[in-house]
Amino acid sequence: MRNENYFHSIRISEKKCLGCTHCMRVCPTEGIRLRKGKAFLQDLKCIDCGECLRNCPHSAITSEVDLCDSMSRFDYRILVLPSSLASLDFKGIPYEIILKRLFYLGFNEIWEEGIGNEIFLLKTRELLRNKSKRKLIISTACPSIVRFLQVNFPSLLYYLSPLNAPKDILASFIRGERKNYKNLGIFYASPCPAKVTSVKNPQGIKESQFDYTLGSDNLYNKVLSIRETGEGKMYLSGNLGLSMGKKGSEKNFLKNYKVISISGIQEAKNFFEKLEEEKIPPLDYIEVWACYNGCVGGSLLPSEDSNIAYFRLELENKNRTNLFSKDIDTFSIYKSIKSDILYLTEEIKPRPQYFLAENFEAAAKIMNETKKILEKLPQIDCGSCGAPSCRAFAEDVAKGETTLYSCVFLKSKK
Amino acid sequence: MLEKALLIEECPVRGGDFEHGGEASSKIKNVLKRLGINDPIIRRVSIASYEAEMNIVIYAESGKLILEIFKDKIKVTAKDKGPGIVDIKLAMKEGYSTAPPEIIEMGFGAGMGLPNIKKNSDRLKIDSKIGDGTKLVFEVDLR
Repeated sequence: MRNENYFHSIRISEKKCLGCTHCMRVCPTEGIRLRKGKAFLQDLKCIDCGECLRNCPHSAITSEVDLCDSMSRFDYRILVLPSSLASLDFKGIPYEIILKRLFYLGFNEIWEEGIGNEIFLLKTRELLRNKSKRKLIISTACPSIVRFLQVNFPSLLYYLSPLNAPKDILASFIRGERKNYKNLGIFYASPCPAKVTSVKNPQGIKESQFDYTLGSDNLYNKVLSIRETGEGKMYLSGNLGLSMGKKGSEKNFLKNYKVISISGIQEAKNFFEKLEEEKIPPLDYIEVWACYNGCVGGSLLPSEDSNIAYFRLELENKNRTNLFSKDIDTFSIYKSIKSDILYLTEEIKPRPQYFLAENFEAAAKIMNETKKILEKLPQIDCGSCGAPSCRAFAEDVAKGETTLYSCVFLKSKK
Repeated sequence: MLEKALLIEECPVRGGDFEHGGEASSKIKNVLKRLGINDPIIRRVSIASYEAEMNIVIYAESGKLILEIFKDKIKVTAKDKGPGIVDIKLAMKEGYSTAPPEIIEMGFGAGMGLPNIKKNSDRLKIDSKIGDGTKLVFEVDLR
């Protein structure tokens, strides 16, 4: 049974999974095992980064998004588009036409997440300006990174920005602005599994103001296959908000401060290790994304390569000559927005997976046992046992989750 | 009778290997993290271990860090083959250093190593034989 406290949007199809171990090897938290020849996700470890999905050669791993049919449940429908969506290859169709096609699909309003980004960035700059107590701030813009800290680096949760993620700031704002609209549905076109998960199982807020998430890939196929266009209210972000679909945008905007910009989950892991050991020069702010090049590298985006997507977003951004949105005054929203929208309201707690056992004496016992088992193993990390490395396997055996003779080398010697 | 350690981890350290200097204390930190030891204690042990490790890298030919976990304390032993410490009392003083200029240029050897270990531990003991080596033991209490 699934533990509802640790809901994930990642789904592995037992039918399509061949047990090839690709996903298991790339999981940054070692959260995948093979059980009976099929990949199995450990809920407590999964951070929804989408590395498994990206690396599955058999399309057996997907993210559970809602279907476009869910739209019919609402009388008034608002779609929030992530900035990274503008990085897609729309086969020569101008972005404005794409938006008009989205109206045709049944949306009454389209808001770019970039508007939320603008508010988020302005507020972040204000936090840095007034910063005295905290040594540094880690961005909360990437939900996978927030989860990564919960799972692997609990001591760094202390440094997380107190701000709500841009998309959630925007959704709450829209909900407030349209509170008199009956049966209003707010949809999000997610570029990645982490953002899908963050709508269904948010961290730091009680509940998300989004009703449904649609996969960017589904929406992409839809808008390319229709010819019709529709009309509706459009709220586009400025250059600043759109730029946040890619890495470097926060660093660029906060240029008066010491900011480091990191992208890629493995890079983030290395960095957090060093940060934990305090081996990093003094910093004010950490911009960090689970995907390479930021959200343009999102695993639900139908783009062939994150570098090309990054470049395409840069091109699209050249069309936005205004720094802030022309359709709405983000600066005055930032000045007047309520703090319960802007700030996280719940504590972001560590996930208990990291510890080997309830108490450290039991954990030390498991670690001792692990060491003894590891000495017997070939240490070539072949993955045939269903664990990502001999060390991880030894630990699984020590914890009693599998038996030593799942190792093909030991089995053949027996 | 001495109480038996619940867990022992040995991490080798190579003298002069600045590229990998810090890996042993990093390993110690990761072991403590997985055991579920409190963050403030991990921090103290990490800082002290790093200083002890860098002392081996800077001054000695070779050595190792040995982590021992007991019910009520964490013990780290840093053993090296090296020149030894001539005057331990003096070495314990903040700012006192015998590091050559090229080491100081790299940002090490500021004379804060041993004082930092003392500050971040509950007990510190140093035995040194000139021309032979140094054995440094520090302990951090778990309660």
